Amino acid sequence: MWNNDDACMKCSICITVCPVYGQDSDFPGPKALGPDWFRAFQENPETPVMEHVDDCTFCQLCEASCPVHVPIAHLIARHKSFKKKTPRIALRDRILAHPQWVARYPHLANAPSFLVKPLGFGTRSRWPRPQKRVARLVSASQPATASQVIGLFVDCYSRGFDQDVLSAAQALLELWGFSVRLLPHASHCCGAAAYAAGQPEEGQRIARTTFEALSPDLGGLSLVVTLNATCDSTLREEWPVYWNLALPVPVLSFTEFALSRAPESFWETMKSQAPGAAGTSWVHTTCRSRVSRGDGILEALAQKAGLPSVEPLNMACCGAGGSYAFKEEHEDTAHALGLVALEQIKNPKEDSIVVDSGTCALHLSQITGATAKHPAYWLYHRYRSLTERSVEIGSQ
Amino acid sequence: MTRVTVVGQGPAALFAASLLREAGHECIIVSESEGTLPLWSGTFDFHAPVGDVSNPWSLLDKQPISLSGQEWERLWESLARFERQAGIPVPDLLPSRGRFTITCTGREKPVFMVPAWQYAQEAAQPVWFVGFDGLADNMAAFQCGAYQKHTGVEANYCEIPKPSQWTPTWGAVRWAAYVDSDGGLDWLKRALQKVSPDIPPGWPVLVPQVIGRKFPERNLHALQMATGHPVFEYPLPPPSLGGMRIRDRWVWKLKQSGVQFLAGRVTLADPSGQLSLEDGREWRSDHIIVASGGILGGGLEISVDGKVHDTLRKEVLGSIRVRQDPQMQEWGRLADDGTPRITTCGAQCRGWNPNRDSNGGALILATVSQSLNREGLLAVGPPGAVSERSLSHVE
Repeated sequence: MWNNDDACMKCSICITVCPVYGQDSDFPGPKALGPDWFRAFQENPETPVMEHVDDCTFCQLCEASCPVHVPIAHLIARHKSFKKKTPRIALRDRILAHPQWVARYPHLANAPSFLVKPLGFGTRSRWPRPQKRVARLVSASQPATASQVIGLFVDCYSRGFDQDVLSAAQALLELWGFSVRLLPHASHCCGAAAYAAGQPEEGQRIARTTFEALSPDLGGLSLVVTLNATCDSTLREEWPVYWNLALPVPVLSFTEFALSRAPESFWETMKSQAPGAAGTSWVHTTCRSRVSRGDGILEALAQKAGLPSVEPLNMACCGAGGSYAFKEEHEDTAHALGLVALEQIKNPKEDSIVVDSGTCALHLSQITGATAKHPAYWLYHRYRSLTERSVEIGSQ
Repeated sequence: MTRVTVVGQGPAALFAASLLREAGHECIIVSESEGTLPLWSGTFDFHAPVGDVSNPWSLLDKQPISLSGQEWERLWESLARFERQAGIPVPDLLPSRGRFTITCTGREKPVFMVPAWQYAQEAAQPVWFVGFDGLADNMAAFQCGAYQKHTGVEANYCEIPKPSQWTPTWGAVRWAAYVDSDGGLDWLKRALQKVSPDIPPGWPVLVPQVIGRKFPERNLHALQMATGHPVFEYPLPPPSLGGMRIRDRWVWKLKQSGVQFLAGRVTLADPSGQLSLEDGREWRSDHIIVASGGILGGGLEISVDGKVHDTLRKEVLGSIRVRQDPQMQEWGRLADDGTPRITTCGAQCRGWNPNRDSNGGALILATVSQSLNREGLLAVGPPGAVSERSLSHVE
């Protein structure tokens, strides 16, 4: 099916990095669900589906650890696709596999629990609320005309709920001298949610629709900037490898774009004064970001931006897993995984969390009580507070 | 500040990164998969094919890379310091004599630096083995018999029944998570309390190395209080909780000190410091250290015709006999012979075969030291920094 899909040498290293295996005592682990199942399935296509295969979060940490590059998580997704579901769970999973529907009608998330509980939605995990857009940033020192056009990929979560993050990122990119094109125009999904839910074919169909919606808008772009880590790696890596879809322009996360392309004058402003807040800026690099690019990049951005007392959070997966935490059968595992953050964050009123995914931010906020947001949000607010303060001082 | 990129994230890479940070250098680790630490118990060894393994300091000139006694002392002390700083319980002083741990098959295995959770002894003593029903590689009866046969020392064993939550999917990692939980620790305390009246006074109790991933020290202390006996772990086949704990804590310490752990496959590492990843990322460092010698012998690829390819320099280093079982040390030798331009460590170079000679720890220390010295990156301490004790080890 894919390169190295039958290469497992049974070293078991994938088990040592799986966040769910250590938490959920019924979960058979990545080796059993991925390569072991695949070998049995090749021998006999009637091989029974393992009961707990859906409890995998699709974080891909197993795959990233494998010394012989077995696509473990993708084999598990294939395994999930054979699982038979009751009609109500199938309906729930179909809704969650299409976050672009929810993004079109974000107020659906306000549905009372007596309506969603019978469908198998969890009631402990907090549902997101739509946030308001923030104002543009102005700087006298920036060029009047933008030299480059940048595409900003509007993921489902940012479109439906995190308009504050989306508008903050747009404002910063424009402040840095780029012309920003939001894309796609209408609500579309990269396909990651369907893939994670064990619907690879549906994921591919969704991705192809999105690809077609994006294509007319890509002319003249020098690159596409992403906000959500999962969408970022899905567009850059899974689209070409698994779905034969290749964007003609490079894809880069907002974090890496900011580190490499924001002008020196911006960093000078950010470093110009001591941090205003007293608390710790905890950094959580999401699993998909860690798998795709690595750990420590978000910390580098937070430090360069002068955020107060930057500290990495010592945790693997926070438990959000996209829509994972919204399913009733996963609530306990999702909550237990997130509790690791609570052990470290002792001053939630003063501390903040910098995290490159909206659903992880929602989950971490609920568990710790601290405000968790995308780095674009924190950079925007710090820049604004510093520049407004200097205007005030100047006018005195 | 000098910027150094270390390729790989196994024990050699972590040791190199710690030395680099201590010397004040900026360090980036880049790796395409996990390092080897979770595959062994994390006891660093200092032995050789011949000689008196009970006095490892007498074996210095039998290690494939020749270093002075002071240099060996400095390296072992550095390793112990880094592990302690990461919260791994290794002793304050280096041992002057060699010690032996007991494997799950009842064999004595020489070890030099051992975290406090794992059992090690200088001379064979009576011990009480505990097996867990339902744990793979549980063979307490065989282990006990083999230990008695090989040492001639008294020993005994018991097997405790599996907990009610147990399912056939429980591997060592799951057992450790269970013992870390309040319920799991209570279960184990009660189970050991039941057998403790049978255990002769003063005998250490040896349990499988699954006594927690996050809290092994707390758990072992609780078991000691519950039984009135010293309680230690014996190592199990991989995945190994000993190595996992060391990896978890050491990687975390390095992250806190500002080391980035980038994910990616290195496709070019040029002596000029230019480095490229398969995903298109590129950067320049002042130095590149290749520490990818572990699981598959150092970033090498073997093609179906037996040719050994160096993936970093796009060169064919040689070939192996494909009709026979592959010999990993043979790959490592090719990597060493073919690597004059990029500084490599952690690989099985110069006939060094830790699987046979139990000296993988010394291999890591010596090759990392050699690599960093070759690049001029190690801050060598003043001669007075060498203690009297160190010289007394060397006979």
